Amino acid sequence: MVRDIQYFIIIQALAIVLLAVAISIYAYQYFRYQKIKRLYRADYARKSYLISISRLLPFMPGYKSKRYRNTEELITDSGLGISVEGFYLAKTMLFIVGFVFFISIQTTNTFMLYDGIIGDLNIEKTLIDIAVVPDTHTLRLEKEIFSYLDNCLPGDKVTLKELKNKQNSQMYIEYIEAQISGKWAGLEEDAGAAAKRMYKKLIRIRTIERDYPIYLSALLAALAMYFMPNIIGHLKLMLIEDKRDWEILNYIYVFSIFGRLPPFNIKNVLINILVIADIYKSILTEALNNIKSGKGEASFDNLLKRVNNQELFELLEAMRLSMSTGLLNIVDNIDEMAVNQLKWLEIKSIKRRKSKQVIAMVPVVLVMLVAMVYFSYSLSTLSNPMNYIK
Amino acid sequence: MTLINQKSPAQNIGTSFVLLAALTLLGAIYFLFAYNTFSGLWYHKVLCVFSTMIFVYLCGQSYFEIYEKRIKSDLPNTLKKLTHYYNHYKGNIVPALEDTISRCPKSNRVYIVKIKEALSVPDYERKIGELEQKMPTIWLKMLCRLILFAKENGGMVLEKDNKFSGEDVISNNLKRLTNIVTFLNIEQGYNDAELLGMQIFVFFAPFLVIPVTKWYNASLLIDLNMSDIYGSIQAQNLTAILMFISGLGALFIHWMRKLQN
Repeated sequence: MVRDIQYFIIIQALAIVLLAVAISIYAYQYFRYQKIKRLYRADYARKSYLISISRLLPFMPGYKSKRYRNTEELITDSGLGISVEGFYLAKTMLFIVGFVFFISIQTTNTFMLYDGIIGDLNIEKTLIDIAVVPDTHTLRLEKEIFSYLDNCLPGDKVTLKELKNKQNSQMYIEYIEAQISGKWAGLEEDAGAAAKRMYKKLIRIRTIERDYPIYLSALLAALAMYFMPNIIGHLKLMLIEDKRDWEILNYIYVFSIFGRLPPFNIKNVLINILVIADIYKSILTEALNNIKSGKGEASFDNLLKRVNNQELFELLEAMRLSMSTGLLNIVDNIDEMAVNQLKWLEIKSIKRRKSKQVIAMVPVVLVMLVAMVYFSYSLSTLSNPMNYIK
Repeated sequence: MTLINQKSPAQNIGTSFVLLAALTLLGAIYFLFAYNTFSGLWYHKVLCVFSTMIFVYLCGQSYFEIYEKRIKSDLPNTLKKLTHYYNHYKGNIVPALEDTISRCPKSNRVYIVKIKEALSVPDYERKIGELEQKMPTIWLKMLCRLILFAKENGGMVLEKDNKFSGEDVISNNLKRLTNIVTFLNIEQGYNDAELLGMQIFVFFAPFLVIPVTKWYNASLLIDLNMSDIYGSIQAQNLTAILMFISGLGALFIHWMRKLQN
C-alpha cells in the first residue's frame, strides 16, 4: 500500500524541503544582514540584504528592465512602501508557504480518505441495510484483508480501467472471494459479501491513487498567492483614487487658509501643506526644497511634467504663478478652486461609491454562496437519505 | 490610545490593560466557538487561530474607529463654537478657548484643553509644535497652527488685498476649517456607511449561519439518526471555507474603508 501512495509522500516531502531551503536561505541572509548592520548603516545593510536575496529569486526581473520599472511604478503609485526586491521576496515567500500549506491540506485529506475507505465496514450500504458496528478486531482484520488483496491485484498489473469494467467485475469478485475463503476460512462474515465490499474499496482506493490533478489545485492556489501582492497593488491603486482627491482638496484648503497669513509666501504654504501630505509628500517636498534652493518659478517646471492628476497640476500651477504675481493675488482664485473641487468631488464620489460597492460585493456574495451550500448540505442528504451511510 | 485621549503611555496603562483583557476575552470566546465547530484536523486548528487573530484585530480597530468617528463628527461643532467666541472676544484667543472648553462636545474638549495649556507656558511655540505631533486628525493639527498664529499676532488680524479685505483672517480661516471638516464628514460618511454594513454582514454571517443551520437541520434529522451530519470532513471543510472567507472578506472591506478616507 505504501508503495502505491508514495507520490503523496514525495510531493509532501518536496514541499517541506522547499520550505526548509527557503527558511535556511532567509535565516542565512538575515544573520549576514545583522553582521553588516553592525559595520555599516542599517539602510545600507537592508539594501544589501535585499539585493543579495533577490539574486536567488527565480522570477526577479533584471535591474531597470521593463518589468522592473513597471513593478517600481506600481509600488510607488499604490504607496505599498516596499522595494522591488522586497516585493519579489514577499511574492516568492507567499508562493512557497502557500504551496506547502495547500499541499499539506491535500495530503491530509487524501490520507483521511484512504483510512476512511479502508476502515469502512458499511461501504455503499443504505439506511435500510443493517449497519455493522466496528470494533478493534474487526477493523484490524478488514485492513489486513484489504492489504493482502491489494498485493494480489497490484496496480501495475490490474489497471483501474480493467477493474472498473462491469464485464470483469463478477470475475474479480469471485477471485477475491476465493482468496478470502482460502486465507480466512474461519471468517464470521459471508465471504461473498466481504468480496463485494473489498472490490468496491479497491476501485475507490485506486481512483484516489490515480487522482494526480487534485495536487494541481494546490499549485494553482499557490500561484494565486504569488500574484497576491500584484492584485493588492492594483486594487490599492484603484481604491486610493478617492484618497488622492480628498488629499488634494485638503491641500487647496490649507493653501487658502495659510495663503492669507503672514509671511505671505508659497514656502510657508508648502510647509503647512506638508503637515497633512501623504500620497504626494515626495512631490511637495521636492517643490519646497527647490524653492529653498532659490530656483524660483523653475521649482515647479520639472514637477508639472511628472504630475498626472489634473487638480494637483492646477494647484502647482497656481503656486508657480503666485511666485511672480504675489500670493495675495492668487488666494481668492484658490477659494474658487476649492468650491469647484468640492462640487466635482461630490459627483465623483457618487460614481466611485457604485464601483466600490461592486468590489465589496465579491466577499458578500462568496459568503452567501458558501452559507447556502452549508445550509443545503444536510438537506441534500435529507432529500435522499439512502445515500447516508453510518 | 495616547493620540485619542491625550494621556501619556504611563497614564494609559490601566485603560490599555482593560482593552487588552477585553480583546483577549472576546478572542477566547471566538476561538472556543470556532474550535468547537471543528473536530480537529490540523488545518482547521490553523484556521481557528487565523480567524481569531482577524477577529481580535477587527474588534480592536472598531474600538478606535468609534472614538475617531466621534472626534471627527464633533469637530465642526467645536470649530463653530471657537469661531463664535473668537469673534465675541474680538480676537482674544485665550478667553475664546476657555469658553469653548466649557461649551464644546466632550469628545473634543481634551484637545482644546491641551491647546490652551500649551499656550499658557512661556515656551508656547515649542509646546504647540509638540502637541501638533500628538493630534489624532490633520485638522486638529491645522487648528494648532492657526491658534498659534492667533496667539502670536494677537487681537484681530485683518485680511488685505483680496475680496475679504477688512475682515478678520483667523475668523475666516476658522470658518473655512469648519466648512471643509463638515463636508469631509458628510461625504466620507456616505462612502463609509454602505461598506460598513457589508463588513458587518460578512463578519457575522458565520455566527448566524453555522449555529442556526446546525440546530435547524439537526432537529430535522434527529429522527433519522443523522443529527451529527455536520461532523463529516466535507461539512467541516465547508465550515472552514465559510469562516475563512468571512474573516478575510471582512478584513478586505475594512481595508477598503481605511484606504478610501
